[in-house]
Amino acid sequence: MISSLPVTHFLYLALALFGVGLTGVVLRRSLLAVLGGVQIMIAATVLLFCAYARYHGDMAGQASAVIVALVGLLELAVAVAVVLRATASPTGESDLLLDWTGSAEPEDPR
Amino acid sequence: MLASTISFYLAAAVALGSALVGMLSRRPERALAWFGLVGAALVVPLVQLGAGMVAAIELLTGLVGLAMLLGLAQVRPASASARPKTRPKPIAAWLLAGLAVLGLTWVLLATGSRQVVEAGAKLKPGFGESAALDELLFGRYLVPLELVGLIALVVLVAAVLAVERRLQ
Repeated sequence: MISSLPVTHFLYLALALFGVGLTGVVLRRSLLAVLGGVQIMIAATVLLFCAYARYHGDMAGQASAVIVALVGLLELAVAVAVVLRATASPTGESDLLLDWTGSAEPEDPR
Repeated sequence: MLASTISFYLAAAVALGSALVGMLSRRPERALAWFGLVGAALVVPLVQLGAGMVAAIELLTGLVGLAMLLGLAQVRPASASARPKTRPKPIAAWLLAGLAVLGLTWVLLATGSRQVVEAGAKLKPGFGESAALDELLFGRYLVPLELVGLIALVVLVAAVLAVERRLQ
């Protein structure tokens, strides 16, 4: 059942959801909240693609939305793997995440 | 007001409210439950857009993502020093975030009262059916889909190799 609602309703909903996700990513320090915020932003993007697909009457937008959803899941898988790898380190995240210029030089584990 | 309009506004309110509460929640399990509710509520507008197949895929990927995050919530760092020090956020940050969310909500509500009607293109028969989506994904967009599949394989191998030491 395709609704007769104007497409702007869906666009503004996607915008609002993207804003909430972005606000959480920027303001929260909890890793879970940040990753959840990214997932909300990806869901908003999927909604946006589908709204434009209906507006233009072209299902290519829906195909793109499927690919975006799958890539979002892969991004989450990489993030989880990196965090697991970091927490497994005996010195915590220090030797994996503190290798930026200006930070303490990590010891070579080899 | 039509039933589809009411259901859209209900789903939008649930999605936005759940996202906000999930973001503000301080307990990981509760936050993840609220995030799951966001994904479930988004099924309604997606189905209304004729994207039932996309809604199903989005719901499935969202559930898998939530399961991964739930697993991550149980992980404790190997050393106590890994826990970051928390410091209070400046009140300006909260003010800015609150204003942004209020503004976005106002825009969403104002759209409903403005009666903006965008008819859009005339939909072809079969629009939104899964067969048409399959035809696109496995026809015109076969190469991008195969590339995503290849990236997925590489990501899985990389993820397994990355956590291999932990498993040992």
